[in-house]
Amino acid sequence: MKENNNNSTNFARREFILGISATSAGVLIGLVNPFSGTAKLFAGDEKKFLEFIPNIWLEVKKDNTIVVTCSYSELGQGARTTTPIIIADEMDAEWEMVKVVQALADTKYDSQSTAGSTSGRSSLNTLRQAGATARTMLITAAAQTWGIAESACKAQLGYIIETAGSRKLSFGELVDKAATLPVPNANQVKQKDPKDFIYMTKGKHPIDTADIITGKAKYGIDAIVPGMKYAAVAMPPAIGASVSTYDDTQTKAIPGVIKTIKFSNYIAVIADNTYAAFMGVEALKVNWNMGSNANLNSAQITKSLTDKIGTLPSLPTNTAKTIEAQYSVPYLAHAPMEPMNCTVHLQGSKCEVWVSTQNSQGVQSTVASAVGLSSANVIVHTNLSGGAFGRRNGTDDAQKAAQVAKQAGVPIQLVYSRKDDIRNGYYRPASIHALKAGLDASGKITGWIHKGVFAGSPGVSSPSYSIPNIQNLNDSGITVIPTGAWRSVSASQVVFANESFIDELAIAAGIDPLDFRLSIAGTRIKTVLNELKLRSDWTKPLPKGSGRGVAVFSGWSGYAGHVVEVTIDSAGKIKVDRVIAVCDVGFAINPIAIESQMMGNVIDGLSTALIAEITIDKGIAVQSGYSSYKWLRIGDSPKMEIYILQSGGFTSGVGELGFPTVSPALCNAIYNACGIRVRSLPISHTPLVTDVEDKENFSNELSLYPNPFTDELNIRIGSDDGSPTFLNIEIHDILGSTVFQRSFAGNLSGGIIHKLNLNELASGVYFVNLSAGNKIFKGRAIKK
Amino acid sequence: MNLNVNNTNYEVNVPSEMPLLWVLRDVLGLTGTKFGCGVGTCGSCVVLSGNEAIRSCSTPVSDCADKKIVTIEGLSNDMTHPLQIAWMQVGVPQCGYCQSGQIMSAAALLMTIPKPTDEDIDREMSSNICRCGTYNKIREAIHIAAIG
Ligand code: FES
Ligand code: FES
Repeated sequence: MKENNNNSTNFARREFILGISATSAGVLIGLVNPFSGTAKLFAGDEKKFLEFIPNIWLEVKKDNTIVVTCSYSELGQGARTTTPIIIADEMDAEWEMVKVVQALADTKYDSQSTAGSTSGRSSLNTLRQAGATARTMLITAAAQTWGIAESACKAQLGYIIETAGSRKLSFGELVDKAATLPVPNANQVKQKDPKDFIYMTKGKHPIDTADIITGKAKYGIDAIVPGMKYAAVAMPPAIGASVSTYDDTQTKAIPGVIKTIKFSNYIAVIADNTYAAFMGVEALKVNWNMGSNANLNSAQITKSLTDKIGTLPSLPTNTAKTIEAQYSVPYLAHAPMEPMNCTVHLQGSKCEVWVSTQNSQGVQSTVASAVGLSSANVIVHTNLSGGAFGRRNGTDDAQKAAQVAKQAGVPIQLVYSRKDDIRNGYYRPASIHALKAGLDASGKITGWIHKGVFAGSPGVSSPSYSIPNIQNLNDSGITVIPTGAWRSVSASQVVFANESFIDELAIAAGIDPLDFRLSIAGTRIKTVLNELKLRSDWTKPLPKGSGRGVAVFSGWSGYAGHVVEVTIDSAGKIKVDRVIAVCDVGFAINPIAIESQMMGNVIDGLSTALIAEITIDKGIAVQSGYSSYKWLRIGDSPKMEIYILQSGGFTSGVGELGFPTVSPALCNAIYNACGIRVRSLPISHTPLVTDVEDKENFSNELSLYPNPFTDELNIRIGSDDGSPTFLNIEIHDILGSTVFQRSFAGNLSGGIIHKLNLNELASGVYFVNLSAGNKIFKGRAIKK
Repeated sequence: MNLNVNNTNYEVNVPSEMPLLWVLRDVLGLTGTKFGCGVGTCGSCVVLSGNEAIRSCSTPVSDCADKKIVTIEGLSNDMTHPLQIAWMQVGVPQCGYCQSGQIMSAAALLMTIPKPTDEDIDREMSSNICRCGTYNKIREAIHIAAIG
């Protein structure tokens, strides 16, 4: 079902096709002259066309295959599946006829930037037109062959058939004829009636699944070029630091290390394999010029944000009750599963690149300037991306790989370690949000003020309701830590604040939070809310300790919302029981991919709300891997129900639409369950139980100190039982996962102190269980 | 040293402490096994050593000398392993990068627990991160494979 476009034979053929379209500068459809195009594809003496190429998006071959070109990057969102779905549907092809090839970076495709959830949306009409054009030409070819009117023919599952007769010709059989026809003008081509779609409305599983589950799928990191060497890099220990001097004696002693190369802000180690390159980096002794951020930490950044909040303006005079609240969210790293990497083969006046990127044209120009060639001489193969989430808009990996390949004189595959990835990203900026709103005597909102201060570009936007007198105020604090687009961009922070605050207003007004939203929502948001209400059994009471929360939002031309159900146990551990997601995407192109994106958004939303954060110390991220920058695991993944509404008339992006409402719905559910309003993410910092008199969970005999602790936690048991026993200490996080365990011989007589070094743990609330025989002592400690 | 991967014997000349992951990827060109963290925290690099799921990034190649290693490329010749069939049926992957590690971990799970419960799956698969959030589809596919 698919074909990779990574080998040079294929490249030669692609180059030829590029040649044709040069005559159709910038226009994507209908201007490629199929005659001049296919004329060069004569097979020997046969003087027959091998393929029919109506436009840059597809080629019909005589063996009845349709080769579809995907110009966007595949990041897991489904671009390589959705593109052929649209074309096959408009052509009325058999799905099995379709193969997909990945486009090289080329401006003839217009922008190939795969960000902002645009790939499905912006290409829909173009691809439909491409497929419809091909179908129209195949029909004309059949009509001319049979000497009948085009209106007497139609396309059906890979054939053109005579509507009132029994004659039929396969697409492949029509290639010779179709290739000689002029490409019709757009107004002579009729796109299908959406009710006749056979693939788009049902969708298809990811087209690369078979390759993925057999190990054949090629990601950027899987590129292999003959003679290639591997490079790893020593990254600056603080943002903005640069290399002064270094000693690579020990590095060079490592078997497999070839050499080291110094650049202004990193050192590359080149080796025969990635392992030797990583070990070589570890063995480097570098003197860094630490630069101006060497003492920067999160407390200073937070203060820079808080200082700019100032005094919020006044509310209208009909305000009877004023509500104010302040929310904060941390930096987030993207941490895609595949670490950043790029492979560069510089061959004189030409350069070939293999990369997993969201921004292949950006890679092309970055590499071109790094190696001193024009973009036209840089061939960029976009391999599959092992996740992206915004991180792969950056071309820093490609730039380094190109710089190193130029100096090294051999093909180079440069790979970041996971630590490099997490410490050198473009984070979702941390931000603080001060909100103030008024209610009149009848409980209606009189005005809404939202001031957001960001450690990056600000982006406060209005809640998705009709509310009078809205004022959105923006500012930035310290912005030296690099930031960039992270799944849903500023909506990821702003919607958390807006939708938490709406909940607070509903509660202040004494109205059910979902009904309160319904009272101020427009038609489409109302539809989403009503669906959520129905699917979640919103009005059905939950057991004690459990709660429901809702949040809704509109963006990327679509509408979405979540209801989250949680249970908080008597110690304060949290379990997400169920998530109901509803989105209205207008017209769904591939509902299977939409469902997957919505599921991914739930996991991202819950992970970032509950446990994930980047904090800064000494000018760099404290976190360095998946044990300190945590993400949900399979056991934390709740039951999910995804409902895709299609109110028609538009097509929305989905990669980001389903993210922003997860965290506020979760915090609203926590409030509903236990009465604690979490206004600062991640939730792991906030104890969810205030009753520490509860002996079941907070044993008198167990003291934990200091509390909160920094790295070391002391444990003291105030019992007088001196008999020898085995002690077992387990520490759990707020999700109940065991994060520390130790057993040792001892006794329970008073005053014994165990000192635990817990510097590996992320900051947050932890539960300590100390068991000895059938005795269990429980307590709670907070890591700063 | 001799290394048996997917029923093929390879003579590899590498330092004994080199992790199996990099021998597979950079020396043997078996790139189906993925690098995600290199320190045993993500599960992208899981392969089978006999019946056991091991993290190839944290296993020195010398530990594998007398073992039979199976990678995603060798799970079956023709995509007929029950997990592969179930994965196709459910359409589990998003980006797909974690999936070879997930499938190899699941393969080890089914060898010890042929009919796992949700709790068995959650426990045994807890060291495999899927950054795209395909967990519920993974669970569904493992159950299908277990029945099939
Ligand atoms: S790469 Fe081995 S566990 Fe992450
Ligand atoms: S499918 Fe992308 S990390 Fe699992």
